[in-house]
Amino acid sequence: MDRQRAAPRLTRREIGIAGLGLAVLLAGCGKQATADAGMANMPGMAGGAADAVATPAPPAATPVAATAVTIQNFAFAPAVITVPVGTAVTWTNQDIEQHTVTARDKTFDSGVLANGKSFRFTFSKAGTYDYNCIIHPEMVGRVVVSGQ
Amino acid sequence: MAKYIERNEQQDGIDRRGFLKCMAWAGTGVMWTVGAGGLLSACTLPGVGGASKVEGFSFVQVSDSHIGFSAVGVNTDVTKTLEQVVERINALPQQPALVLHTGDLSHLAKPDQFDTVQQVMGTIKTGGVFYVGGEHDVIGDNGANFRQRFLPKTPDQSWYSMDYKGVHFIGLFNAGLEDAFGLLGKDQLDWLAKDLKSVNHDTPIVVFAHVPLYAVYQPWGWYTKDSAQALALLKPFSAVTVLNGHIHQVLSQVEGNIRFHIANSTAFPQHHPGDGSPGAYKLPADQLLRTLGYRQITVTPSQHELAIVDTTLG
Repeated sequence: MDRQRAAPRLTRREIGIAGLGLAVLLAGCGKQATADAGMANMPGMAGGAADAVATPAPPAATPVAATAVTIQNFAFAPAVITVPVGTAVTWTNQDIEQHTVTARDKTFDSGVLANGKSFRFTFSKAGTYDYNCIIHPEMVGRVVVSGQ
Repeated sequence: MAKYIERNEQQDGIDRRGFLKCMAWAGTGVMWTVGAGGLLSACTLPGVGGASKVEGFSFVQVSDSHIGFSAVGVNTDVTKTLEQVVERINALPQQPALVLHTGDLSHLAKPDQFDTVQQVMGTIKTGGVFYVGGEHDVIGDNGANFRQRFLPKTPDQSWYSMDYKGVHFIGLFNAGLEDAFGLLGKDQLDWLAKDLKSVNHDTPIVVFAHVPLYAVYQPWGWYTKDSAQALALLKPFSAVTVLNGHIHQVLSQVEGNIRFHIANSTAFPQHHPGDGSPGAYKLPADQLLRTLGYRQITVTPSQHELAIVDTTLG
């Protein structure tokens, strides 16, 4: 019976760096509204605008004109895309694990996407749509939809 | 409490229906019992709190079973690996007084997945199985089904505490979806402050929750955003042990009086912090079992530090 696995590789220095990362993350977060008010108000569930210490930051990547987004290695790629109104965008999960593509304002929600599955949504209104994976909220993306 | 054992179907001295009467799970007015199929129920006790003299016993932590997950090259039978863990637990020389499951029981919170969890966990020979939810357990309904099944007497609350043989156990929930992920929240922190007021500072405390309560790796969300407030509440206590899951690997950290221990999964491994990306990864079949397992924790009177042994299946 193997009673001990390999020692974890995270060093104290890395933990310290990770700690610095928190400060940067918090500093970089804008005050986004809590999208899912229903969950926030649910008894026993953590949440609520007053509790929101940090929300996933919008992606800082350079916008790319694209209609296909790959979900891989727990990230959306490209993270930020631009499309004209009326365009359909397709997300495809290439990770082993399931993910969702869920707009912060709930304009669209893929539900749980298994490996190899795709989700397609047509943007009929101009605007900026931030989204994330609800299971792994550190995964964030953005679709910028330009007008006619 | 004159009658301690009412039924003893497994000939192990544990009465799974009359458990309420044989063990004083009396933390902060909530007393827990194990019903048929390993289901928990609770009742409120007036005027009971704090803890008594510490007695020796052992308990087990199981985590991240992800029943419903299947991926070729990783693990296509997570029920079997959970069953293997249960077999190991049932073969321990000393039967654990209780078992804690630190979340992600299921992969997608489906009823049939919860059925399997209850069925398999219900075969563990122990005094009681206690759960906290993971983010995978609250998909779709914000945890309503999870709480109904695994916290049946407190369906409106995902956290609780209990005392056993002088140790104060606190189950916390920090694994909601989206903004609630990695967050305890004001309601829970207020409850924790109130709960701890009745506990003597010399009482050993065991906190168990899904997401790590210390900052393991923020870029992957492997931390609890408001853990500092909870840890501040725990600071006056002489010995605090925090048991977490979520990251599918053994990791430990000591911060003053608080010892953090993160456990292996029973389903699949995840990368080390910062190494590639989070999530499951493929590995040779003969290596999988080396990454899966459970944890045994032993409480010894007069010793504040709990003895922890992580055991893998391979």
